[in-house]
Amino acid sequence: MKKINYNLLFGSIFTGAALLLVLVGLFYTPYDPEEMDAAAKNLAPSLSHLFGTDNYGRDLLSRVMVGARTTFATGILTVLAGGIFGTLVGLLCGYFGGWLDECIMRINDGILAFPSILLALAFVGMFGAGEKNIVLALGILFIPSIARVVRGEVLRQRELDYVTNAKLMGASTGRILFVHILPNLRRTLLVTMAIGFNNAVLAEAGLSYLGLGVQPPKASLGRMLQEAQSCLRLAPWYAIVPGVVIVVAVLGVALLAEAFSEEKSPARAAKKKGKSLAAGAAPAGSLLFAKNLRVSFPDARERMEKYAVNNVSFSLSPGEILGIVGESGSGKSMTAKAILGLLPESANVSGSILYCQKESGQAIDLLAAKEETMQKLRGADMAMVFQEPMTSLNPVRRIEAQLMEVFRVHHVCGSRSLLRARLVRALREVELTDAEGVLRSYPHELSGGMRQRVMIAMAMLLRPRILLADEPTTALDAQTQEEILALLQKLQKEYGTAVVLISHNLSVIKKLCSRVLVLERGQLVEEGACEEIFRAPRQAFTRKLLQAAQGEDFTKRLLVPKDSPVVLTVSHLHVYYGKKTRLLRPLSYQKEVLGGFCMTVKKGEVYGILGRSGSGKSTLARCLCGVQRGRMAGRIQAQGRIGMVFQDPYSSLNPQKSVLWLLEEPLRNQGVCKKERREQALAMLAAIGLSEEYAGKNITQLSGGERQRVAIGIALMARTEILILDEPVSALDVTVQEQILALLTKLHNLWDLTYLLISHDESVIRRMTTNSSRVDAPQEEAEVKKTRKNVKNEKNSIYFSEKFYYYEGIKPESEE
Amino acid sequence: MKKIMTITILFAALLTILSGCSGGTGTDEGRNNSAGGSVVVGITQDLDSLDPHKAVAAGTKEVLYNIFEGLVKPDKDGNLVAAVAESYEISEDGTTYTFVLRPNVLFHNGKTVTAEDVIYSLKRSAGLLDTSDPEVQTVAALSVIQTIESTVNSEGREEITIRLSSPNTELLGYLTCSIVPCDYTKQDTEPVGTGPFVFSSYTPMDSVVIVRNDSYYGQKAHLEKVTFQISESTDAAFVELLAGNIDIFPYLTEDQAAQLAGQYNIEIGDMSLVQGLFLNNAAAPFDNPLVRQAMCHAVDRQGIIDMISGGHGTIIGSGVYASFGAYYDESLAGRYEYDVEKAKALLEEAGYGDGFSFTIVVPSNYSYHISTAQVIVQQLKQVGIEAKIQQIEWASWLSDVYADHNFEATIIGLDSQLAPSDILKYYISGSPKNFINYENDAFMQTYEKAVQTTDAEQKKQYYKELQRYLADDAASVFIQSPALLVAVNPALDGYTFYPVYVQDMASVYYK
Amino acid sequence: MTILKKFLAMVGTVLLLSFLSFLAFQVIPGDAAQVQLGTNATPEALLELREELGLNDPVLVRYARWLKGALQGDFGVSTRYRMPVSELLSQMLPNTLALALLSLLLVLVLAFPLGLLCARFEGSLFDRFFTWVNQTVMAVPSFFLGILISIFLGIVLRLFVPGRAVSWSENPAECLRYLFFPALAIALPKAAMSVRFLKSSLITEKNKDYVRTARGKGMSRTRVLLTQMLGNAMISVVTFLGVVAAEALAGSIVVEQVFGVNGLGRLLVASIANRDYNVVQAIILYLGIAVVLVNLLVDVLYRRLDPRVRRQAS
Repeated sequence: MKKINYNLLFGSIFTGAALLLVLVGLFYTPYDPEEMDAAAKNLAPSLSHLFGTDNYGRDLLSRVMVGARTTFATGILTVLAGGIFGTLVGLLCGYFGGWLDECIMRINDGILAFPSILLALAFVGMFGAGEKNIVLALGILFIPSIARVVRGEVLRQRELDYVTNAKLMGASTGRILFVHILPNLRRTLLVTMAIGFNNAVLAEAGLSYLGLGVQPPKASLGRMLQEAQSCLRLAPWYAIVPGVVIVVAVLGVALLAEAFSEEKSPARAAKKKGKSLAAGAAPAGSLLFAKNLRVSFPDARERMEKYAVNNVSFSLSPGEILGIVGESGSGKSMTAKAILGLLPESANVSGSILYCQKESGQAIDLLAAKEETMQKLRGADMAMVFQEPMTSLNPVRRIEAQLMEVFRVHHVCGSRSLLRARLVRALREVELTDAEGVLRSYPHELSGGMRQRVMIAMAMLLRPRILLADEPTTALDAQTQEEILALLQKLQKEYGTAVVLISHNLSVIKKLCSRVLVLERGQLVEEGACEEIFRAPRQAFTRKLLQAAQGEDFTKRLLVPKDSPVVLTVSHLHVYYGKKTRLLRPLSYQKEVLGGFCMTVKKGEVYGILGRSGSGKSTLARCLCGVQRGRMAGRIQAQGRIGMVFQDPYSSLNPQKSVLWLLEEPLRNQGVCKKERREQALAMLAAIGLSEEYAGKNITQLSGGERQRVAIGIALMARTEILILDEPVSALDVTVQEQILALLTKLHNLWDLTYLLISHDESVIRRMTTNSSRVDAPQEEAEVKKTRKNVKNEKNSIYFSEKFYYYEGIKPESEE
Repeated sequence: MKKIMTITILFAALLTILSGCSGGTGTDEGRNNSAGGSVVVGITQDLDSLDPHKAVAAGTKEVLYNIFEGLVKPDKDGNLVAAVAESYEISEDGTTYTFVLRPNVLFHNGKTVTAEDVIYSLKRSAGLLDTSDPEVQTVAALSVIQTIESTVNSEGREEITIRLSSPNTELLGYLTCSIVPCDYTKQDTEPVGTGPFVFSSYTPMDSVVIVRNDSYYGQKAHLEKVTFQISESTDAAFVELLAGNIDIFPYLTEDQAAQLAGQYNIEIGDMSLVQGLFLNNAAAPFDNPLVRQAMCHAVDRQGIIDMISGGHGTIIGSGVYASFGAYYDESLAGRYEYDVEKAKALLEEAGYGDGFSFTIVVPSNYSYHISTAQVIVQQLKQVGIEAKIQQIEWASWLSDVYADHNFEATIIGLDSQLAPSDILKYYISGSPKNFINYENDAFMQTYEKAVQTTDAEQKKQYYKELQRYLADDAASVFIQSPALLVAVNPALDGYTFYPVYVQDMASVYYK
Repeated sequence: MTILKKFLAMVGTVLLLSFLSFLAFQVIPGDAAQVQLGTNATPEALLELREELGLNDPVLVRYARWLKGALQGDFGVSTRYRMPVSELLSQMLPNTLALALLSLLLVLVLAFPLGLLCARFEGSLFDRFFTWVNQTVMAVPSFFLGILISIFLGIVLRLFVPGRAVSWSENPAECLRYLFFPALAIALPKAAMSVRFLKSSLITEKNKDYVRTARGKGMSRTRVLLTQMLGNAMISVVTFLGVVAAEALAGSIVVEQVFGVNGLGRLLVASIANRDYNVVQAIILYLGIAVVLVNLLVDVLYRRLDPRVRRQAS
């Protein structure tokens, strides 16, 4: 079902019409636009004068043709002049920051607050009135607004890994700004400039109204409107014609900008509830029974329905824990959302999900149920816990308000203190000891683990019969994971809640679930008792999953030379975060993120660095690459070129470029000639296991694993000897993880590389490294931060606790 | 069209919101059909000073005319009639002026006008006071005054005797300068004069209110109250006219007048201005008289008048307009007929056969002059001259064009006191008023003679000669004395035109 | 700390601004004396008047003198209107403030219901209709909108008498009644922008996890919109409204001209034309201070709305 993009359509029509008027006006106007005729004054529109004439007897159509040209040219030139300078200023300010930024942004503020009329007058005073100076004045006024937007965007882009990557590749600052960052600002620039164009057109009209703009007898739309004022009754068309042209053009450009700035959201599907297939009765005793569940999204690009969930049937018994496993994109979350009726509006759903109601025991089809019915069920009969505890709570409301809402929505009566007591009890149940404090807190004042506990407490508040847990532990560190899982199990036992546990992590499933569904690309490939499936998987896909989860020990395949020289030494590295001292602020505001880290890496080693999230592993990596900003102390000695592969393949590669371009980039910076660049790049493409057809592909067309391969390839292009791998596989599915690790092993042996592997995943470190260190933050992250008072203390606690401890590492198990 | 539709719909929606708060507006309360009542007069320039001796703008003077009077004042035919003075006498040799003061003329503050006040006022205007206020406009023509004395004549009336250093028979026109009380210091904010109306209040950028002077010595005004409402522009005033908010508005454009026809009486008078395309005689190519003459031939004056004022207006051919009556040389109006070929030939002769380009600077606050410029630009194209228009602010015009003579051409209207020497003083070399850099020794000598001669017939001849000089030299392109189109509330009568730029409210009354 | 720092930076901006405008007057031809004396000016009189007005001193001296006076609350005397600048401003300021507040109020009254409804029923006929209306209103030049309002509401429908502005000091109620119409001209485009901004902020929030959580609790869409999303969306909207407020407080030059409102915008234009720099300086100072105050207010609101920012400040 194809939906027309009205913004694009009408935007094009309007802009096109305005452009046509101007273009035709360039070559042909029915009359001389400045030719006066006392006999033809104020004629109404007729065949000889399509739009009528003005009070000098000039033909309005001709005038509006050239007037529109003047006005639009003013707009475009203004936008170009202001846009170019504004972009430049914004790029510089955003990229370099510091006092330059501070100064320029102050001046920016000044110009923004400066009365534009005075500025325009100053220009007119200096250079005389006329459209050139209007362009100049408007352009200058446009600079601050665009600079501000660009600066903000650059600040955001600057922190993305692909910029760091480009820096590592030896790109000059200019190159980073203009070749790497600028193309990524395209969309932002487009929208801002469209707005700027509109403002300029309207401003030209306003300035001409004040007599400062285009000089008569030259026509501009603004001037025409101004002149039309005195003839509003006599010749209303005089005002209407330029007015309509302005509105049409401005509207057209605005609509076009709107159309281009829209997220490429899937076209809206017609809202139709999937027809429930003859709601066959649920098997006796099952709480929930899904039959032939299909969820699809219309794919605008390929003009076909894309199935996220395809023909899945399963049942859920009261009190059981059902696991759903699968890789990302296999439809796990969609299944859960379909149960709760929280699918995006664009989704098409069919099949049925029968739910056996509490009181009546009658089954209703959740997919066909009314929204009000669903609202009653959600939160009361079935509840959900999501993956990201960080964002799943409303950041601007206190925990108490958010929990209390559950009562209010489901009309649970009781005095405030009574309900509050219930909340405290619920929080204690999820092992939050300072329940009172938590209630008073805002989400950001809690740690990740605490937030997830709050989420669970919220879900369990009304003792639902079904709890849907969608990757509830993935975002948490290992220890917290354990605790949360234990908590889920405890609650399930205590209240007999049926739990649907969704995870890509087989060990989590294995630990908790009694029964498992395995999904692959939206289809149910295997179903059965947990133990059985783990012991004897029937399907190849399941076997592959299990195999990957076990993990091969790559250390056996790694070739590590004996008695090789030291290539990297880090001694007593201290790194501080926090802003630099400014004005009178004391230095103590900074916090130390690395406190005297030491390590020695020999050539050919795979050196592992293990640490929890937030322990400063990435900071260490950035220090080694020399891209860390801020205050540092200590010493780093390296022999050989250092390259780096980042955790997130989606942010570390410039989304605007093709694979080949990216692979060539390091050589380009070294000034290698085009032919050689191409050869080397293609060779590298083969080495990282991608066929040649990938060369021309845009990075956005690649999967996560393919991107990571490209990232590795880029890092190695510059004849890198030491490769820092910052969580190279943690964002990938397990099966892909194995492939990437195998590739890394192959390349290590092929080119005698030295690896520094950074990860929070102990198994990766164990399987890959020949020598390792551990960076650690102390363990007691538990229950400290609640009340206002505690918040203050907490700052200190971070300052003291987040130091690094240096261990002599896990002993190497090197092998010849 | 669809856009307009949506806007209308939006308005319609808003109307329903508004309907609750709309009440009776625009009522005509407080107006009687007989004597009395009040009117609103629209003006488009804010007053530059309330002190009549400090005011420069013609727009200010036309308002202050109702509050202040001189020893004499102009009537509608251009004659100077007695005002504060009861009668006057000019000596044969033109060096002594004697005025008999009208008895018991009261200032608005209740004080009787004395000879002392008159002497103070004249000296203040002439710049003869010991302590001078730099803002007071010195009337240069009054500088010929040597002494002013007051005496009491046989009938017990006070007399003022003015002796001049050199003969001048047309000083009377300058003696219209306002008589103000001598010991009064608040003229800037609460002006006090002797006129038929009393100043009531002034709100900057908004309005001036005057009320009837019930103790006026002469024919008392009919209206009780007159509000001069300051509009931002003619266009803004036009909207107010449509709304019926203004009773009298004197600066309509032809198009506006056409639109108001049913709603207002449109009265047509003369602006008493020399409107011209003034050429900088010192700047190339206008330093060449042939080029200036070509310009004169290339501008179709009647075309301008037809285009922008619907045929109303008086063509002039030199620097004096028709209100000067006997001094005006009407034959000059046809001195340069509109003739493209002649213009081209003259240009060829001057060495500009291919034409040239120049810029016309126009003060942005005068839309009438801007319109004129537009038409001229179009007309000059016919002879191959390309003119550009540059609007500048009035303040910039004063400094760049008027003071610094930094321009090629400009369009402006020159006004004057009721003395022919006043309208011609713009062409005296060396004078700061000679912004067009006109140089002609013969003109200078004749001017001296014209001012000093006491023979009336001789004087007329001299002044006509001066006008001929200007025309022959094509000092500038003199266009017209524009028509003044005034919208007057049909209920009103008695609106009177004067040969000077004033709005006399004393004569206006409700029918 | 941050607020104080911000405040100091703003004060710096205001000073810079006033100095720049002082410089601007050096660049523009003509001065107060020239304007005052007009076509009768003689070089001697000009010199004398300039001396009296203190125009002959170097620009820095004049600026220092002005600054010294301004710091003591003395903004000098208007060369044109011959009254203390503070008195002149006190005549105009109430009109501008009333107009500003009225238009702000209108913006809020129009923008919030429409923005919320459009976001709630995104993609519906209602939403699409108002999106178009919005775009169209934004595409009309403000002076033209003013003229349209004068003609339609004033002349054709006779809801008010265009040009007959009532001053605040005369009759506050009548003044507000009249100002409603210019306020409409100011508010419509800004309301349109606000609707758009509010809507897009709300729609951004729509896909956030916490909205899903709230829906998971069993809350209806409307309830989620009002109790959850609005609070979050307001964080960015308040900044935008701050800009709108600052613009409104600055007074709309064009709208004040079209409707003949005696406000600061019109006074600014007139004073620039008169080269009445004491008045211009005072107005610019006012503008600067208004912007500073609005920014501070936005900051405070920001802190109230977003607990995360609040913590950083403590």
